[in-house]
Amino acid sequence: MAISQDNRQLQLRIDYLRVAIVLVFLALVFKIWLLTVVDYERYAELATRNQIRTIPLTAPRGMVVDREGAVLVENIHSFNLFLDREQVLNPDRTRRFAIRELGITPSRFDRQLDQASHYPKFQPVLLKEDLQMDEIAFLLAHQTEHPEFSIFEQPRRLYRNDALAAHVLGFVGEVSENELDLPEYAQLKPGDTIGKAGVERVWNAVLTGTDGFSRAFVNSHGKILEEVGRTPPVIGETLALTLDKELQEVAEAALGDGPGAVVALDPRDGQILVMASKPSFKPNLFATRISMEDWEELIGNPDHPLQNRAIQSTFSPGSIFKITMALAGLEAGLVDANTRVFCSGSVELYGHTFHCWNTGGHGHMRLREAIQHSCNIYFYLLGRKLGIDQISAFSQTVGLGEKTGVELSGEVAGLVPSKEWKRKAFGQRWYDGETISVAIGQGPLNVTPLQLARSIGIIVSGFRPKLHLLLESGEAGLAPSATPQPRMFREENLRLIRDAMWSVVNEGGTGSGARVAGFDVCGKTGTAQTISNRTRERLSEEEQQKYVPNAWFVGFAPRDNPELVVAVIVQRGGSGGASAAPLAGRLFSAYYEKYKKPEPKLQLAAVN
Amino acid sequence: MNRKMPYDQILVMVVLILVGIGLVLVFSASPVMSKEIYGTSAGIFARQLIAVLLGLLLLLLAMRTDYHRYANEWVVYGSFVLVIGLLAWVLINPDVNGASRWIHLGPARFQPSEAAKLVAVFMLSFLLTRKGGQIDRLDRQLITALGLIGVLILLVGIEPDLGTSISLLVTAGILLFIAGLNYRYYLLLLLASIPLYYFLVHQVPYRRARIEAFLDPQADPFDTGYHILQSLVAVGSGGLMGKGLAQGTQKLFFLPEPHTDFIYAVLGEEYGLLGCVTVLLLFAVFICRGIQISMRADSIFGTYLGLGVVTMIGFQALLNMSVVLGLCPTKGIPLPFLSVGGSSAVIMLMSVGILLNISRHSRGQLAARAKPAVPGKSTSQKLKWEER
Repeated sequence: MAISQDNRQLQLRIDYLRVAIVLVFLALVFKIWLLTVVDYERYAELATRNQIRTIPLTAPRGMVVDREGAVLVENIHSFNLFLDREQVLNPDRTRRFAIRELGITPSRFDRQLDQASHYPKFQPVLLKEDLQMDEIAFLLAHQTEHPEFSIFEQPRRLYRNDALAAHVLGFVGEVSENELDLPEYAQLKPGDTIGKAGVERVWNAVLTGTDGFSRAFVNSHGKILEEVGRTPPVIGETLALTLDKELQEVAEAALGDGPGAVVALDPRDGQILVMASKPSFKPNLFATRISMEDWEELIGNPDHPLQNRAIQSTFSPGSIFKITMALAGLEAGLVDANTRVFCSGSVELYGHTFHCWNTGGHGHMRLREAIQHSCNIYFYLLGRKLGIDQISAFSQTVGLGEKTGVELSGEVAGLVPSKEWKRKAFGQRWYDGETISVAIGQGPLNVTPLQLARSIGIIVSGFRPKLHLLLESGEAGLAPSATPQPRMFREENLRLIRDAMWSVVNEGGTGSGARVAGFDVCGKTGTAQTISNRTRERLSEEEQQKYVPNAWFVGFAPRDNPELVVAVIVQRGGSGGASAAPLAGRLFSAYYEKYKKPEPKLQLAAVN
Repeated sequence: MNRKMPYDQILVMVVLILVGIGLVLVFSASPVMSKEIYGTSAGIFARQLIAVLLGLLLLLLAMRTDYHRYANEWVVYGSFVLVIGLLAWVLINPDVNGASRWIHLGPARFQPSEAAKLVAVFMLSFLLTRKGGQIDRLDRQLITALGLIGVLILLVGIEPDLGTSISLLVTAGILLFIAGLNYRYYLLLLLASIPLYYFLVHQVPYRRARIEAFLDPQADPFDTGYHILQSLVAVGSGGLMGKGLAQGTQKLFFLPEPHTDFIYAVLGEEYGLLGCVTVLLLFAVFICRGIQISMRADSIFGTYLGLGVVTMIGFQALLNMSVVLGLCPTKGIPLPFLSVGGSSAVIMLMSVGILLNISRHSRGQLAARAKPAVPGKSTSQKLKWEER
């Protein structure tokens, strides 16, 4: 009995349950009907308004600072115009507005949209950088009609000292379509910024931060109501360079508009303190979109302002090469301090007459005097003794005719001629007469200012450190005077050369313009012809003006323990002594004032 | 007596269609979320697909396992002890964010609270069968049953997984109701729930906020009312026919968890009233067939077990859809067969397998109605209706 009652009860309860279930189902259906039919309009409107916007939070690139932490490159805020493709209702109307009212060129508008077409639609497209206040105001006034345009605040590159060290720092620009295909830039999207030259390019990966984004809930007017998600941007790493901003400023001021270049380095550890090239350019022009006029001016300038003369141009070293010759002769044992040569103003070799610059002749010359007075005859004869292959081999030992390996791109190797080179390049044998030209730094010999500075550094210190621009941690101070590395050459030879170069500056030699009181500056001037004498004779007076020789000065200080090597070239500067040496002098002086000058006496402070 | 009836094919079809719809929706709803979580847009979908396949495998296995075998103290108490152990384990090893719901097994993870539901159904069915008609007698067996279920509910509740614990409570309540528990117990429970509500909901700010948001979603559309409003916007803007496959925009971070708790809203937005009602009807068919199968089961244990499974799945489905449609405050309860969630998918499909096995051991409807078979005495261990 109990059982069948159970069964009946079970059936009853199930029936109650069924009724409850049916009621719930009816309620659900009713609610669905209410939502999708009765209130459809309202919810459809809410859904279209319910727009999420992705706001790019562009990561600032890392800063670039000098050896002392002085800021060279940083970022400032810039207001950029973006198009949110999801908000575009009428593409023609949007395009017309952008071109007519916002001043975007049709080609740029189409190109930007075309590039972006491969990327998700919610990513806004960059249309214009660095909006001005009036443009921002105009756009805000039209926001309701054109909610598809937005203005986002983004970091913009600022080269704080304008053109200072422009060639080293380089510049940034929008990644191009071709660059986007490179694996290196695979993570990027159109509108992103990359380093295009200099340090910005070489260390692009380090400097580039990680972009973030914010997703925000916006109303139908595009006003941000609430942020619903945010990935904060991560700034790129700060790069510390070996450059010394103050010295760089001195060098650039001294160079003026150039054309010319200045390089200063520490021969003990290869740190580059100054690298200046003139004429220069303003990287800030590239930080936003460079204007057509500015670009054409840069490209059209016959002196090529974009070229980094310190590493991308080669010049005949002229008399500077005599230093290399001198050490080559000493190390080979072909001459010593007392070897004497008589200079009568000219010498006949291999059937040609070769002249000294001093046509009256220098008389008897030892190595020291030959360097001090830059006597050609001495080095003609030394060149004949050494022969081109020994000259060539020794030049390479001191780093000429090859890239220094400094971290910048576009460095050229220059050229140190040899018999083999001539045979390969021209299919001709080397004429001994050519050796004589090379011996005084003319002929096919071509070097970059950086190479030449390094070679002098190697010759006067006997060390061959790797040149670098990136300051490694713990390197910020000047290198200690004692370096455990073995010297490459005999100390007495080095001392002889250093003394000779000291006399060039301090004993009435050609380099007296570089003299700094209290600082043992040593150096060598050079006046390098840019065309051969024979070609010159065929030119008119006026044309000859264009081929004024390049003026060189390469020096170092202090004499006994060189810690700074400076190379200066003033193109079309004429005599090295007159135009390059004083310029180097200003740099040595600035270095001395900054690093070497003894502390002023304490009494001065205690006067009051 | 036909002891080898065919499987209930309608039930199989309904479940497979629901699972299929679920996968399509997950495919549409999850890529953006998936990219956020796993970095690839297919991550969530792939995981769900694997879970569903595993679930179907278990479904087949359960379908072929004679359900009478579960009416065994070892199985019932064994699984109970196991699940208590797992729940205790997750409580001792909380996740980084403080909640403890998961057991991590390499790349996979398992939510023991899902298994707890099935274990509760097993145990209640077993104990109710033993008790026979004496359901209202507050004897040791009833107290044991309520006590053990209470332990499960408590353990799940303090994970905290209030949704699952409510689901457990209601499933147990309905099962007891079907078994004939006197109404006065429910009145008692209602009274008892007032202090419970006060301590578990009113005193916990985020839960109270949900209730308040439910009562007035428009008051603060950007905060607590946000989820409910977004869900309503999704379904409402779908209209009659919906916006079409993958055309919904609400899933783009407007809807909270578009692939799990709010998958029904994605369905609404993309397939409109048509889609919503279709899924609703499929669940209706599932519940009807499920009840029918249970009522025709060849043993009272089968009836309870079947009803338990139907209750467990049906209640969750109705609750989830009610939440999405704004008829109920939000609770973290997935939509069976559709929502992303491996543990849920596996347990749900396995339960369907059990239900299908019960359908195999059917008495046949007409016979049952005309001549209700009388089961053995209440104290008898013989469970089959016809073995009297």
